[in-house]
Amino acid sequence: MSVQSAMLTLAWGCLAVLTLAMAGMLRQLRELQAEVIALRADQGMQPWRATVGRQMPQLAGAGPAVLLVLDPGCGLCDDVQEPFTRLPAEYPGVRFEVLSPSRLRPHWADAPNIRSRVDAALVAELDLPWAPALLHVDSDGTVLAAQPVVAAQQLSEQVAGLLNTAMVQQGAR
Amino acid sequence: MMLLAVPVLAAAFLLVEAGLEHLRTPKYLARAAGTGLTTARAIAVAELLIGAPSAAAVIFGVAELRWALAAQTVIYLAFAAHLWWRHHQGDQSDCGCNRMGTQVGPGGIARAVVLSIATLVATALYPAAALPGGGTAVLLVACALVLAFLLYTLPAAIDGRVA
Repeated sequence: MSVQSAMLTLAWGCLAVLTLAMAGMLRQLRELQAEVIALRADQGMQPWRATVGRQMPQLAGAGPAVLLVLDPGCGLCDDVQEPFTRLPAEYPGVRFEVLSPSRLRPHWADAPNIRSRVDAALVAELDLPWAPALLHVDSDGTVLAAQPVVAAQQLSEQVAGLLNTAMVQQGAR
Repeated sequence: MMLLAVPVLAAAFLLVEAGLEHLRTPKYLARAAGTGLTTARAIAVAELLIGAPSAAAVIFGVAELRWALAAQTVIYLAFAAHLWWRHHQGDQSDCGCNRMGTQVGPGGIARAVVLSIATLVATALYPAAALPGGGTAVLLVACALVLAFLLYTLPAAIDGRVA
């Protein structure tokens, strides 16, 4: 067998192993998705609903707030910093805060018009299923709406939607 | 013979890597194999003492190192039997394959069986199963490294990680 034929055959062999590995990973992913769906069905609710409606005195303040909850080691959390710091100018009456269970990176602490705090107990109490997460909090500390941050580019639209949803919910009460 | 030499060399690289990992953190192997730390360290040393000469045997074609290929066949066969027994008992804990924390499952068993068969055939045909000399050898060693990396991750991809 020539070297070329051998290398070609070996390359196909490597591709076959890679395909096997990918098939295995996809199967695991499907199993995980099925587990999550089953878990949601068991709970009979969206996991975020557990947070919405709760009153957290630690989050109370002058006027409504948009709270961004971060998680250490989350890649998206750094990406949302820049668009999040632009939001206080767009919503003058709203407080913008960042909450993290562990030490924040310096660029968060230096951001103007954004209060940053580190409180592992509060993050644990919020019991959010995803980070980064956006929370709309009323002045008395009641969580009016919550949702995961999907993409840094959509943060502004998400915040607008979050504030509208909460207003609709308040109006319905 | 080149086609046989590459997977056998990849198996030897895997053995060396497993030996290094088990020597660094013997507690994972001890837990997986149900042994003490001393036995885990002894297994790790055996993996290194078999894997390194086995790789040298395939690369350099030294006739005196045929024993390493035979030992590699035995160690992979023993590992396959050990995994099969644990799988048969319904054990879904760490297989001890590597530090990825992989469950005992068909992926790990199949990998060990295929590598032991390939090494057995190479042992029987040795030294014809050694790599050819020159630049081709470099290409084939690189191919074996790639294959070894893929085989390293294969059990975790197929059987999943320990919960």
